[in-house]
Amino acid sequence: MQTNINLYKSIALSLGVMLLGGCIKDEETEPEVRSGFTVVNSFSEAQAVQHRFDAGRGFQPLNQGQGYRGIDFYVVPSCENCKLEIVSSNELAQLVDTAFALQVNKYYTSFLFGTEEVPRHFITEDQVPEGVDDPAAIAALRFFNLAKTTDRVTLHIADAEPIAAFRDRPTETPKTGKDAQAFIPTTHTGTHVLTIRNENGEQLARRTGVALDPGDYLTLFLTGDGGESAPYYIGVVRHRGIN
Amino acid sequence: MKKLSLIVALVASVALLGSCLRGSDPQPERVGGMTFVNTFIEANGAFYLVDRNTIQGLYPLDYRTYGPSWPVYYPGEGRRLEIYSSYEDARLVDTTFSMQDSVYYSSIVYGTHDDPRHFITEDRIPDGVDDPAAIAAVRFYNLANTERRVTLHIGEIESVAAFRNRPLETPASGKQGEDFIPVAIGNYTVTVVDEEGETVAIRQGTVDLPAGSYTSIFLTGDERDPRTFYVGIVRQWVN
Repeated sequence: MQTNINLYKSIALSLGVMLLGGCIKDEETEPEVRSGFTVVNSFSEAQAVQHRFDAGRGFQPLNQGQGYRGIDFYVVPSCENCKLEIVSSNELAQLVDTAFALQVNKYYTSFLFGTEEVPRHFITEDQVPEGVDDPAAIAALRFFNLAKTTDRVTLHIADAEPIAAFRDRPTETPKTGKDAQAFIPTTHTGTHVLTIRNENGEQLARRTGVALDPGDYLTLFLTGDGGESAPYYIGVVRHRGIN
Repeated sequence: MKKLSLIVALVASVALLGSCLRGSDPQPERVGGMTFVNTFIEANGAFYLVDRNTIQGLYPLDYRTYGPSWPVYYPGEGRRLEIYSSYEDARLVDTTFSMQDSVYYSSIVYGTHDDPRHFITEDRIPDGVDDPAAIAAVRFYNLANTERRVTLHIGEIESVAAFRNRPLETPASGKQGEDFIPVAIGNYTVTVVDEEGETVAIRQGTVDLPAGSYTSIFLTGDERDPRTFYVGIVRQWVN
């Protein structure tokens, strides 16, 4: 009988600990606040780069390494003072070290390009064009020249007259890239052949079968240097989300 | 005691009546559906979506293969079919189709990234055939990226007009050539020759055309590398 009472006591005690434990405030999980973060690697001088991201808890790698022309999407904690470091696979040279804010439930894209001597980087806010009621009903595009070239390049979509913002673009600087972050709506949906030409009308790159349906938001970019190891190439980022 | 017998009665009636329901009604048989044939040589595979849904086994479907093993049934009008290349996710096809009950269809994709081509056939038993299980029938397509006009030879059988001097199909010519043409039952060597009589490709081994078989034979490959020429065979569902 004595042992039975002891047994009940210990059961009651452990039950109490378990149940009361739930009341302790510290244990409550914080609601997670997240942002969408796409990273694009247009840095042709290294086989791969690694993105290291700090949301206030120290730097952590986003990936094991992202190959040249890679495009990856991550959901990361939102932060007022996010830090991003991008390291090259060439002797782990640091290419980018920057700080910025990521707001809750907003989408951003990081573009890395340039050379080892002058690495370039900018982060765009990926927003629905102004005055658009139904983002799923339209398609929109933006274009960056991230190639290592002295040419000014123009993006042609099928045979249509090029969009003004896509004409005669020199290689971006972080400023021109950021300035051109707005998506430009187009009614020209369907499956398109894209070509990029320089100011002499010479074709640098071509890509077939680019699907553009209502609700698609694409970043098109030229990358490469025209050499054998990095021919000119049209990259397509299909944005998972925009604000 | 009364309660118990009630329970027993209930259980017994459920068990006994349940068996009355089973199997007595004939199960409606699902006939019809689409087979997908990938002869698009410029990519390792193709990804298929119908109404933005993937199709099991076709994500991707490799070059020179067809599937799924049981045709997929999408009854209705205005179904959207998209086919994407495994190379750069280029969209090769973006079209709509309608599917009727009790009809078999085939989707055939070919061509190049610059000029992807596609058509959908209705796969029917030839008109005027009394016993579909007693005959063998064949249709022939030139789906190779070549300028040459090609002719299909089935053993020593005199080649019918529809199998002679076919240029690379257009979607229209493919659709027009959807009819199966009865041939003598047998086991044959199958070759494809060009207008000069030069052999383009020989099917390895022999091709059995037994009674009740409906077979698509096609040439695929690319002139830029003549070793890629290949005679493809697809056994079709027909109705």
